[in-house]
Amino acid sequence: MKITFALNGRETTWEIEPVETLLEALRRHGLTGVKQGCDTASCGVCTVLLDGKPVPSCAVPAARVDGHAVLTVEGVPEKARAVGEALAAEGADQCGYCAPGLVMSLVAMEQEPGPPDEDKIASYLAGNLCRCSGYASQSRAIKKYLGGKP
Amino acid sequence: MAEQQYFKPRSVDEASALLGDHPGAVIIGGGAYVRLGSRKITTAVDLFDAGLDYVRAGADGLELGAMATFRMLETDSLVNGYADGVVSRSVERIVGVQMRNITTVGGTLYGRYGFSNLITALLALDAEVALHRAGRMPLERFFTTKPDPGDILTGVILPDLPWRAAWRDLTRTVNDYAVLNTAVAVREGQARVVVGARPGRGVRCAEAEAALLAGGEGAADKAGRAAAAELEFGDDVRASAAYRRELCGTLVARAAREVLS
Repeated sequence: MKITFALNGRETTWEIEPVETLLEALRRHGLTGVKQGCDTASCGVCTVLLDGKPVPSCAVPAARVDGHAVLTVEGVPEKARAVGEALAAEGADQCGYCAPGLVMSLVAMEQEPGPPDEDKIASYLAGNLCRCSGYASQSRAIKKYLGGKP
Repeated sequence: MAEQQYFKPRSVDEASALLGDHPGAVIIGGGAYVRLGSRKITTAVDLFDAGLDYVRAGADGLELGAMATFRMLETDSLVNGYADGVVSRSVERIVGVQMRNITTVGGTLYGRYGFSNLITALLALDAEVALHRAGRMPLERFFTTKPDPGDILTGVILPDLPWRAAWRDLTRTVNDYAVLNTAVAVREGQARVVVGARPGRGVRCAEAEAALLAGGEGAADKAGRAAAAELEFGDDVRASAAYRRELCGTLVARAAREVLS
């Protein structure tokens, strides 16, 4: 079946299988910045934004996004670089596998009302698991990134 | 496997017609637990664009559309303002924002999940469900009625009643499903005590409710003891039945103290 949707701001038409997840379809079409983690909607590694909201792409049918807007880490290269540098500066990244999902959650969090204080960062990013670094260094890096934004 | 079809109707009427034309079609609500590839789904009818993703004040109370997400329940001011925000509190820590953005009211109710916090909260507030064909019915009746595969759950109605309510659960990690959950609600002459994740789904507890209505010294503790004695508990990966029974007494008493204070 065909789906037409806005992928990183560009109208895109893909031929997909009705059984595919959004994660599978994205990776099959070369958007390999989106990673597969637990594949049970629990780890946040595959996070993309659907109509501006963070969702686990492993649990969204690809067919669902027809007529909607999907943003992946490939669509936010400058933010991805800035977050990556902040993570590296705080030693908060070892394997880096969780970083693309974390970037997308941060992009969504920045659109939310209210100041990005410690509590908000902890609760909003609770769905992004990192098994390398622990969360203290990651939290420092995120605060540094948010503080250093223009 | 037969060729698969995926429909995204733009309205409930259109969805209903599709179900009529395709016997055996599966409705996709949230989709979090639907492994499209692993189930023999030949026809999927996704309600994502069917206009059911609302929270609104209706004529009889607060209306939650079947496709309203947990994230909406968590953040919406109407839901936070209803019955001391007990519905919002019940869903706000489940897994993560991403999961809560795809988990829906309708998908949860159709799943009849034992671990569900939302089901426990809704049962304590005398919630009704609205079905496209069968009309409105109390949530408990929905759970005990064999579902009509051609029907569609369109939403939940929370009646305009002055509940004072409280939520309690215990989780092994902050964002895990509950080891046990409870919602307690009271208003003039009425009390509701619901306990879920036993690990079976939320059920009301008549003796605990009677203890709250009787009132007097130690009513909250009596309600806790009554719930622990009356309900059935089981073992699973999160806790033993014995642990849950102990926990039930404590959590129900704490929630009851909050609503009685």
